[in-house]
Amino acid sequence: MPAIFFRPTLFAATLAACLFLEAALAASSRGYLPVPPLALVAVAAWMPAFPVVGRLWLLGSAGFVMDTFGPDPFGTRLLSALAAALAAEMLMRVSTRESAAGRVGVPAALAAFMWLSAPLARASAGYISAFLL
Amino acid sequence: MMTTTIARKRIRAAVAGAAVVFFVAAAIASQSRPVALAREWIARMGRPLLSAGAYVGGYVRSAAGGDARNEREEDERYLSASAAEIRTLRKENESLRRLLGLKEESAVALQAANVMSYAQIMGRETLFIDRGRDEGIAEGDIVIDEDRLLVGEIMEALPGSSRVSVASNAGRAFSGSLVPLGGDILVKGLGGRALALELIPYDTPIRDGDAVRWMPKGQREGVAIFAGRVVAGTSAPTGAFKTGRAVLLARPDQLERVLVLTRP
Repeated sequence: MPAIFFRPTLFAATLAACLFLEAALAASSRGYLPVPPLALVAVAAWMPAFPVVGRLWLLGSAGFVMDTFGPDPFGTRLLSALAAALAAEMLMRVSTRESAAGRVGVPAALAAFMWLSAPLARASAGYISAFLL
Repeated sequence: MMTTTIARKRIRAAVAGAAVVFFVAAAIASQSRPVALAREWIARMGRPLLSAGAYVGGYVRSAAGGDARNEREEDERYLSASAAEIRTLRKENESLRRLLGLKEESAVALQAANVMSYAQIMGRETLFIDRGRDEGIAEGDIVIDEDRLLVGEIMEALPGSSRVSVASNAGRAFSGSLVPLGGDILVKGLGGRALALELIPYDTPIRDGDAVRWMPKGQREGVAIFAGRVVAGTSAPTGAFKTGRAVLLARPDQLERVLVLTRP
């Protein structure tokens, strides 16, 4: 496999594994216990591994997949993933990625950003659709 | 050399811009046919993965000794629904009920659909079904299972598929009534299959095991659809109303087929 496809393939495999785990956890709790958004955490963890162009395409695709299966209106995870992909660039510039805190801190901050920006992204998707369609 | 670097930067910026434009357009036109087809395709492709996950989760649950408890819960659920239905039927005049039932049921069009995927994130459950706008399904249509238990509501109707938000999801609310003792109430989803019963009149008795019936506005009788079972009697009355808790009777994670009540 060419080196250029190696990381995207690993990224897709991680996303698939997280969706599998989410389904397994939901089935084992029979729906009574909340299942954490593992796919979102995995996506955030992979963000620093790609340059900005690859990040936008890959995370946009991941957002598309998460929105297809997720409970939010379509576009919520997609828009928040795109915003986080751009925010990651700024975060990585200000953080010292070589330190352990930087390695964990950037993905954690991005996961929190994606989680917290979901209501804003949901509202934005709704407003844009209402105005344009 | 310098020109090549600038050209590369421009190409990168153009590709990045294209990604943003492409995905924002997909988010805006989420209900258009091409995007809907892509979503349906992803749902179909992801189905084996999610089914495998659900199988493993079920295996873990049964290995942990949950089978006996599950069977008991299943029996309890079935008995609650049956008992509530019997009480409702007794309450009404048998011959009139039959006539009214026929009349009411003929006014409701039922659309059968297969469940393509089930997902649960942070207590919010969603189903993806293989019937959509092309079959007359619209947002807000009610989804029930084959035992006539309320599953949820269509949150998004795409051309060939739809997404269902389960009735117990946080933010969902519907009007209902208590069976057998009656009384109109407001039912709100809390997530994790829990329902909050609100605006229960002070003088309405409520007991553990009572059923919660889905009752749309303006409909007094007709199709009996049960949503939940009261599990936590009632809290202390505040003012003119009491509150209570119920659990959803339907099992969205185990559904393979559902029925959609489409409006004529």
